[in-house]
Amino acid sequence: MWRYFVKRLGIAILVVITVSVISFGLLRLSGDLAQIIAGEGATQAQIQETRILYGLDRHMVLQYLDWAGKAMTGDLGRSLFTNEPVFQLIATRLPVTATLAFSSLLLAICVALPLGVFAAVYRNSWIDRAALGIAVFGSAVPNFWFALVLIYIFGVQLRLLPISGSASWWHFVLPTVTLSTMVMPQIMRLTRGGMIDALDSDYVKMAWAKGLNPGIVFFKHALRNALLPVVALSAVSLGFLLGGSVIVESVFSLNGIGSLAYESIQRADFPVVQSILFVLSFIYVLLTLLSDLINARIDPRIRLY
Amino acid sequence: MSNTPAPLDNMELAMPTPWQQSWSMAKYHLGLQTGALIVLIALICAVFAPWIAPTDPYAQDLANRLAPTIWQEGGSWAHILGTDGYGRDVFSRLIWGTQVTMIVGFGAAVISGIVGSTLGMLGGYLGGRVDAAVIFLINVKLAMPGVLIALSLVSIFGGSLLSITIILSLLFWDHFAVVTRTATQEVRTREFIAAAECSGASRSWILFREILPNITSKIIVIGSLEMGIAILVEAALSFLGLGIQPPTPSWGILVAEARDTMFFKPHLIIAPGLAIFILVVGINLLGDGIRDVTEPQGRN
Amino acid sequence: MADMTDACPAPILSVRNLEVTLRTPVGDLQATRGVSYDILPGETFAIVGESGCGKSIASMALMGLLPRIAHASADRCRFDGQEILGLSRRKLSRIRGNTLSMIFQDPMTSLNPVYTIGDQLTEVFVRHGKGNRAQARERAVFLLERVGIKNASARLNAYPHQLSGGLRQRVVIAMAMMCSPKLIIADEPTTALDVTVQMRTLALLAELQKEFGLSIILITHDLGVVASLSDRVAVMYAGQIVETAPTAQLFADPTHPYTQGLIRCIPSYGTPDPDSELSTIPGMVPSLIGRQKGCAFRNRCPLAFSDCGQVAEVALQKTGEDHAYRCLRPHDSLIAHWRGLHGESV
Repeated sequence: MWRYFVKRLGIAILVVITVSVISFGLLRLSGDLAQIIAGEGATQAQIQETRILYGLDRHMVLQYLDWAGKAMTGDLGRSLFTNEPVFQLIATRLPVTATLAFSSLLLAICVALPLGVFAAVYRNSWIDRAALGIAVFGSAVPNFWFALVLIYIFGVQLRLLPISGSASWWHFVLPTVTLSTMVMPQIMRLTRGGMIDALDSDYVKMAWAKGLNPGIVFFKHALRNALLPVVALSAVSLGFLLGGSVIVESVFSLNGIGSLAYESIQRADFPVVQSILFVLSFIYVLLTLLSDLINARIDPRIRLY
Repeated sequence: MSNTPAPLDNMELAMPTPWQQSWSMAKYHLGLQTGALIVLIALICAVFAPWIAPTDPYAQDLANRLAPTIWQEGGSWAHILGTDGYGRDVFSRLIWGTQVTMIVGFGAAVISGIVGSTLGMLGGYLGGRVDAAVIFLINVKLAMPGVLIALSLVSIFGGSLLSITIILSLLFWDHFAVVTRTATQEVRTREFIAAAECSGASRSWILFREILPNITSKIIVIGSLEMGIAILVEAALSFLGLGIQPPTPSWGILVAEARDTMFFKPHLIIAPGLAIFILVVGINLLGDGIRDVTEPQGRN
Repeated sequence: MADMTDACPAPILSVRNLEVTLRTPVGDLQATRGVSYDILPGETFAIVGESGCGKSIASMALMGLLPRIAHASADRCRFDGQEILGLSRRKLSRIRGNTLSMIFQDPMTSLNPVYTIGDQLTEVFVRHGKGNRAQARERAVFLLERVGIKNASARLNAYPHQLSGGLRQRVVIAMAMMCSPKLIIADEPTTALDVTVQMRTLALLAELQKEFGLSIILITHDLGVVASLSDRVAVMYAGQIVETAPTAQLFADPTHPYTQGLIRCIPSYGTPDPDSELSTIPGMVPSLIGRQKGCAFRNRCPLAFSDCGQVAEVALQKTGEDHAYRCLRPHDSLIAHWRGLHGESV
């Protein structure tokens, strides 16, 4: 178990480093940073001065190491646009996105899990078809469009819910619904598939043959096995939602990390973009590690490693 | 009583070939047929847009802005879905939009399919360090927030059709790699691979002539799924203004442009969104259908 | 062992005309046709046949474990004085695992991987109201020791993946014994095991049967298993019982050409000469979709003649006390055929 975990941790650290190298390199592809920082009307001399001031004249590797060293101490540099510390910018924006992502995941699980289980237990029934319908809808609807349709129906026609900003919990309802449709189909399909596999398995046949009650067969014997992959998927989904909320944040005018990234990309604010990519992948890797730990707790077979 | 063996009459077993079997199942597969029909219509619209679209999708008619649809009062056959804020014919723009959608969706699916399947097959077949490297690449890809990476790349490389297609294909190769890797590992253990290895076949022969045909149906299914997602992401990028650039009629741009007028002209937003939705549903149905009729475990 | 002292003990299980139909996309599949048999208390009844002959699905029908697409009907299906086919799930669940239990083919997959052996053993005991958890553990330890697992009380906390295949099958057997059943259905209990473990597992089953007075339905494709364990045998082919006889008699006087073929396929039986080729039965099992006319074995039968395809249904013919076969040929010509194949050995 510990060897397994240490190995996973090592790979995770390598992944984070690689991602940071990629996002670092990516944003230096775009041209001369010094020129962008110095501004459009800058003279050659001013640009050169900026280059030295920001250390951009050094070798790329040195620049990266410098950035990485500071990043480890929590210093992610300053925004080129507002001159605020990037760490602080991210720290003020992350809670909105985290709330959104977490509530979306929760909603998706609350809908998808029972639906997937019932769809598997009552295969080919109306509930199975309804679940399939929701999955098809969720995986094919463009979420920016769905958001606008929700705004039109609930915000404009029915006037039930607020449509922009993050002032109250009510403001999170429509964005949460929109975002949860992005992960709901997968969780539903995986639960249904895992449950069907479990129900068709010999150990569930054995459970029936032992005369156990349907409740025990379904929930004790089948569901626990079906849930193992769902745990991993949920962690991955949360990471995906954190990075994928940019569209929803933009439509609902939420000041989360997605809209920060969007703004920063548009105005070429590289320290911010780079740090967001880094922080999000770091969170993602943490989440997958967490899901590994949870899986190791609920699946006795993993303890052997 | 004679001792001649009985004639075999109707007990003979004529085993159909896999193709015949798939085909005969396809004839009863409603989802597959619906999906194929939707995709076919979109394909026809994309290829024959200049002939199908009633007017030039770029032609502005500022005197005739936000004209009503055919079913609304004052609507005319000249503009079946009315006109947009610049007086352009919405129906024509919708038809032309199929081109962008199909090119980007199909292109991204094919490129990412080739890259991802190659990596997955190499990792699955060769194992060892190659496999570890492939798994590592997949992990790195998964850890990166895809949409944000795509947005930054578009801001760097611009929103041409080619760059969008290539950038999107960077987003989707991992799924191909994961599936082909597992499928290759499974196929690799079968006897015919050992037989080919024993008869001295080269690695590339085994990969492309022995393994690939056995996992093609899986690749096609993933391809259809990823094509659907690529279409959605292209529309989203274009909607955010960091994708295909206006005035090119991409469905995402159509939605974005209709946003200002959505409260009093909702159909301008409904139409392109619905078009995306229906096309992606069609592609998914087609992919699921292909899986049902080609994969043995899909045959109940 | 069939109890010969008692004149006519009431059968523990009596099946008449069991028919199982599977609804497939290409048509109805007759998985079993008119299957009838009686099982006496304390006897082992073997059902042999190739895969797909309906031997497993017939017993799944008894357990109420048929897949959704299957439908079972029977004139009679009486277990322990109670009609069990078509019984409500609730009533059936009181019998299953209690007086009627089952051993599955593959011990690697028939234990739930996420629960301990102890948990899975005790739950069936508690479920059927045989006692509390502590008593269940006591019973589990007793049975695990009885099936030859050392250090049983510690093993209760083990997960299935920590045990070898042979040990797991012993756990499965112990699990089937937890509530002292009257009848155990063992579906290919040794097929998934190593050859070295197979014989020990069979011996264990035989011991347990003697000790606890169980009846066993042994489903297998392996005539060697039949010979070593069972009292009576039914040979199934294409959904029908084609021959039924006491084990010794079946091996001495196999009557149906299919049984003869099966026995000849056992290397030591058919060909004592090591240089000669092994016997096989040529051809393939016919499709069971739609009701077929005539004898199902005729396309592979060395003795088939024109009538075999003409008659609507070949009836089961009695030959002697407890021996019946399903063939149009008269008994003596079939026996003559068998003796002709290897006169000296019979």
